[in-house]
Amino acid sequence: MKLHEKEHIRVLIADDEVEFLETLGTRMKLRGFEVTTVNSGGAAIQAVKQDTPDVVVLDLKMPDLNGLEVLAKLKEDFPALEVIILTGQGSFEAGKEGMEKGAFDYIMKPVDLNQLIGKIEEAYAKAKAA
Amino acid sequence: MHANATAEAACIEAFSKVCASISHEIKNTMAIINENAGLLDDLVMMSGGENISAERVKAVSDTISMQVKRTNVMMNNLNRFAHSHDYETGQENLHDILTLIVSLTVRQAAQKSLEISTECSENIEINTRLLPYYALVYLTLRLLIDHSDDRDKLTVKGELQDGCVSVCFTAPCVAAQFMTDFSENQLQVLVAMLNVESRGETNSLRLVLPPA
Repeated sequence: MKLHEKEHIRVLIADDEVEFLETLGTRMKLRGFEVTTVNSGGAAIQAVKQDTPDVVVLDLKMPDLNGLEVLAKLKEDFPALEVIILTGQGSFEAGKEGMEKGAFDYIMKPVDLNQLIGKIEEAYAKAKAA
Repeated sequence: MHANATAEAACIEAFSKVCASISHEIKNTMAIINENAGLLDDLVMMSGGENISAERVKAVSDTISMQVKRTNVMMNNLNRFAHSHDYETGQENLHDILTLIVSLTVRQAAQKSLEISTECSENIEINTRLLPYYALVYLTLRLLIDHSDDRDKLTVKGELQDGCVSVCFTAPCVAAQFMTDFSENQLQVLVAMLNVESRGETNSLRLVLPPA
């Protein structure tokens, strides 16, 4: 049983906090999203190369490559891909740098799920309109 | 006056790094708790409030409880670090200090998949200006983490040597040049304030605190 049937949006979530990743993934699937989860920067790049999602939700602090490095690599290889940064890092500079590198938006944890879904839908609409 | 002001700046730097790291960690645990609370709501909405799987609710409750414990450990660590400034000088157990400092760097170590081990007898006490000492040990370890290669193994060893308290940091992948150049590092202001002797050796760095 699902809570809502949304337009079929494919989302990749990259975060090294596995408990967060699994629960957020479960809740988004309940809302009709097709969700893939990975817990490192390298795995995020690999996942996008294998099956490019509509939107990526990306943490900033991860083992191996950090989120800004992943963002730069993704934007280089997939310029039209929309990436939302979702992080516990409170640095204004990190957010600014993320936006300069082409992130769609920068959201702080903890986030209200409806707010995140709203951003994902906006990012999806922008990608489709491009 | 200038040296004191710079030592104060080094203490503030250590404290701000600890606060930034712990507040980030707490945001992560709050995010997990938030998502799990949301999942409980989802389960209620899906079932209409009836026949909710007890097993599923228990799993969510366990996750929330674990994250509260994790947050409490972080807050205890921050609290101990903060209280190091309660008195100008104080006596503390070296094993406890090193365990605390290593705990405060867990996130940075995890980012580089580093393993940090602590070796220290449990009966060594130090008597010194605690906040500058915490700051010196913490900032030294953060520098070594920054300069280490991924998956490196670092050791922090505390011991008594000729009545002096020695803390030796060993980092196999850190360039010997970094260790020997430590005498030029800005942390030397703390070294001088605490009357510590710093010795850079190949792959290791030793901070020796003389008897009070």
